[in-house]
Amino acid sequence: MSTEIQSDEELLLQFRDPSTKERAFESIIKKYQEKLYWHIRRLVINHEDANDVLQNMFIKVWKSLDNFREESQLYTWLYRISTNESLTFLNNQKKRNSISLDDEEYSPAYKLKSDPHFDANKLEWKLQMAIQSLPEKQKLVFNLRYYDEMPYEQMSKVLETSTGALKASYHHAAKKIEDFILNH
Amino acid sequence: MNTDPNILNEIREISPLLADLHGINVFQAPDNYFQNLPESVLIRLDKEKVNLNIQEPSFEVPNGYFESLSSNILKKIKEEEMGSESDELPPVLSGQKSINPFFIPQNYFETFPQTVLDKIRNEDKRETGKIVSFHFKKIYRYATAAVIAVGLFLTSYLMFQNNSGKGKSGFAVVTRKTVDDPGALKYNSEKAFNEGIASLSDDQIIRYLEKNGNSFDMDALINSSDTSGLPNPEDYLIDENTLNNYLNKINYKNFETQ
Repeated sequence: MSTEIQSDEELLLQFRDPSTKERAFESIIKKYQEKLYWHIRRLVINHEDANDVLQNMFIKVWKSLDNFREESQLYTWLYRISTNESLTFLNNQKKRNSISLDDEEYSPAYKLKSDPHFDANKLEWKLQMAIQSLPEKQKLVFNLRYYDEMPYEQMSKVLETSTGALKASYHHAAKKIEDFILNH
Repeated sequence: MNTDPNILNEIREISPLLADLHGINVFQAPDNYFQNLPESVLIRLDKEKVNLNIQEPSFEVPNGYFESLSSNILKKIKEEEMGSESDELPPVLSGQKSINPFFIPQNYFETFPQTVLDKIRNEDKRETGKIVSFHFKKIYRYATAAVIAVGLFLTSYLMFQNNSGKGKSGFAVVTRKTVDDPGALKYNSEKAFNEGIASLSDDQIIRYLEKNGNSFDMDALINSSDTSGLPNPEDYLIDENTLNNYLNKINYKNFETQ
């Protein structure tokens, strides 16, 4: 599709033109939806939650894209929004659970085990269990580097953390995950 | 997915185990999910009434817009300032805000300044009286001291006259001829007079003076009194202890029991 090879600059120009605004937005969704979906999915784990967060996120993007400043890349900006939306969703879910006392049902481990394809003996699922055991920031860093292959410079803009700290965080996260897999 | 060799090398150095697992995605999305997602988002935008219909920008302004702009802005600011508080009120209360259920006399505010000025003038006049009133009790105490001084003077004078051989009793002057009130006849001796005076409280004396103070022949009283030892009234007004010192000086207690 021709829109998939369009640059962010071109898409933003089209978005600002009322006659091409909707079409440009559709192209932006198509260009980034998969990357953003998997980023969100790895954080919230189940598809329904990931779909909700992703759609809400794109609606927010529509409302605020006019004010987007091109000092930062659209790609970085979208990742930042999707990260924030995912974390907000998880925090809200945590708050609701603390009221209803359904901690177990909404825990990351429980969600993973609820996946129809979950297999506790497979290393790739153990890897997911290990990732969910990480602190929030380390989890984000590991996912963005290991799965999304995001350069540290870009990650630094998404998470507003120095590249040095991100490298250290990634190293610690990987070591913790390896220990978890070997000991479980 | 094309794996970045630098990222793969990096994870291999940290953990060969994780490098082997790199690129495996355990999660699955429903079929055609990504094909349908853009349309789903646009439908939601439409449902949530997010403005999808972009209006052509209009660069025209109504006639006289700029002429009335400044006054309109000021009017709006005023309205917002006035309305900001009523906005916080429940509608039932904010609707009542402009209704004043209280009535005032006609021309109240027109005459109000003059009323206040008149009141101030009257207060000024009363203020002068009030200074006297403020020291009212003190002045009566001062008068009490004067009466005592006069009493001392008269007693001494009569005793002197008596001792000069004019009569057997120094207080024989109190007779039916000089006193109209028959009850006063019992004070026909010095002892009875002193006891009568001593039996009076300050309050009784003050009440008596309040009632009959005006009937005194002040000139006669002052002329027949030895006021040389009395403190200066101004000193007395400045320092309350002045009178007490004077009473102590004349041995007031001893006089009471004499």
